[in-house]
Amino acid sequence: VDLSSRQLDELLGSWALEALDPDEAALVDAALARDPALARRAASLRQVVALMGESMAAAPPPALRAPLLQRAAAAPRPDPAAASDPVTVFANQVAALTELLATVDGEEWHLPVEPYRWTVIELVAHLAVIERYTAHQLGIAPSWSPAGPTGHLEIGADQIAAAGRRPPAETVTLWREAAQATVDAARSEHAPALDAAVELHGWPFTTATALIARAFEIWTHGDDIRRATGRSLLAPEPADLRAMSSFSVGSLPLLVPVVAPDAPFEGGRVVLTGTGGGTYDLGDRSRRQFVLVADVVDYCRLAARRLPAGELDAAIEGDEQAAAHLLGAAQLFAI
Amino acid sequence: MAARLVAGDDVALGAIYDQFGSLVHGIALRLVGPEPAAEITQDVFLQLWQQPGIYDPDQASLRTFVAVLARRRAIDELRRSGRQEARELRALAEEPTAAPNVEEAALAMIAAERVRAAVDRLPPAQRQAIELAYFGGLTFRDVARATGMPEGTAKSRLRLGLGRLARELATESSTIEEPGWT
Repeated sequence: VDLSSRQLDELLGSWALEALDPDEAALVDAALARDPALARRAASLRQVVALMGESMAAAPPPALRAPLLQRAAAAPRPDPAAASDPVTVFANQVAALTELLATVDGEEWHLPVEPYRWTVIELVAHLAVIERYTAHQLGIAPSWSPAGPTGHLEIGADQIAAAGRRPPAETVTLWREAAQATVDAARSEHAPALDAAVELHGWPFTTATALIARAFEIWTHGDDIRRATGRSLLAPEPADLRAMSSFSVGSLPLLVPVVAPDAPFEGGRVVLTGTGGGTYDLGDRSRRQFVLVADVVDYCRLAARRLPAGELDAAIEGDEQAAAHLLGAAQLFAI
Repeated sequence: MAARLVAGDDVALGAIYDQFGSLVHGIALRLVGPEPAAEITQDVFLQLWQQPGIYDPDQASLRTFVAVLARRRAIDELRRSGRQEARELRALAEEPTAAPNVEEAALAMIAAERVRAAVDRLPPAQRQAIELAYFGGLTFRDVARATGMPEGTAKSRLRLGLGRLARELATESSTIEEPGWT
C-alpha cells in the first residue's frame, strides 16, 4: 500500500504513541527509512512521548538491580566481531598493502616517511627484509639468513639503501613475494604449528602471535605511507581489528612490570568500543583497579605508537596511574 | 555508554540502569502496575544488553530510546491482558509517583513540569486523545471508539496534539527538535 505524504504525516502522531495497528506501523517504519525529513519529524514526536515519561519516574525496587546484572552475566550475547584467525589477519594486511602500493606512483616513492629516516620505497624494502627474516624465524625459509645485526630497525640496512637505486616495482615485488610466501606456507599442510615458539628480534612469540604482530606492522606502515603521500588512513576490517587488539591487550599484564616495576598490576578492564572492539578483563577481576574505555582503532594506533598516550581519547574510571602504566605497556612492542 | 554496551561492558549496563531505571520503571508502573512493571524493567535492560544493536544513537538519545522501549513493552502487556474499559479508566487516573533520588527527582521534576504545563495548554479534545493513547495504550481506533469521534479525527488529534507539544517544548529546550510542520 502506498500512502501519500499527507497520509503518512497524519499517521505520525499515532506512530509515535504506538497507537497504530502493526501493519500500519510497518508502513510508517518503511516510509521513515526512505524519507529523512519524515524521519526527523517522527523523531521529534517520539522525543515528546519519551519526555512525557519523565513525569512518572519511580525508583525500581532495590532488589531488582542485582538479579538483573546476574541475568545479564548469564545471558547470551552476540560476539560483536569474531576475530580473524592469525593467518587471515596477516594475509588481509598483505592484501591491503599490496592494493595501496599499486596506487603509489612517481615521486611519491621518494617522499620521506615519518617517524623514520626512510622514504616510501625504503620502508617497503624494510618490510621485505622483515618478511624474509620472519619467514626464516618461522622455519618457512630456513636457507635465508640475515647478514649483520638483527635488530628490527638495523636488519638489512644495505638492502634498504639499495632500494633507492632500483626501480620501485622490483622492491615491491620482493616484498610481495616474501609476504605471500609466508601466507602460502602458513596455509599449507606443512604449516608451522600456531602455538610453536618463535623468537623475533629477541622477543618470545608463537607462530600465531608472530603473524598478528606482523599484521600490526604491515597495517601501521600502510598508514605511514598513506600519511606520507596525503592519502586517507585506513582501519583494518573489524574481524582483523579484533584479532590485533585482543593480541595486544592480552599481552599487557605481562608487559606492565616492564614499564612500572614498582607498581604491581592487579586487575583492570579494557573496553574497546567500535566494531571489532570488545571488553577485556585483565588480572584479578576482584581486584580491578580501573576501567579504561577507548575506541578500538585509536587503541591500535596507540599500540603502534602512531597516537601518543596523551592524545588518546580514553575514559578512565578508577586508578588513572595504573591505567597509564597499562597504556605505556601497550606501546612496548612498537618500534 | 551505548558503545560500551556494544563492546560487552556490564559495568556500563549497571550505570545505564542506575541512570534510566527510574524512568523505565516509572513508565511501566504507571501503565501496568507494580508486578508487571518490575518484569518489564528487567526485560528492557536485558534486551538492551543482549541486543545493543537495536539502539541507534543517530536516531535518538539513549534516554528517549529506553523510554520508548519501556512504554512499548508496557503497551504490549496492556493489550495482551487488559480490558479496554479498565485501560481507559487507568489512562485518565492521576497516579503521581516518587523519583528515586535528589538528582533524578530534580531532573524528572523539571522535565515533568514542562511537559505537564504543555499538556495542560492543549485543547481538551487533543489532550484527552493523547492521554488515552499514552496511558491506556489505546490505538487511534480505540481512542475513536472510546470518545465517539470519527477515526480520522482521533488520528488528527493525536498528530496535532503531539506536534503542538513538540513545538512548545522545542522553544524551551535544545534537546528536542521542531517537528517542521504546523
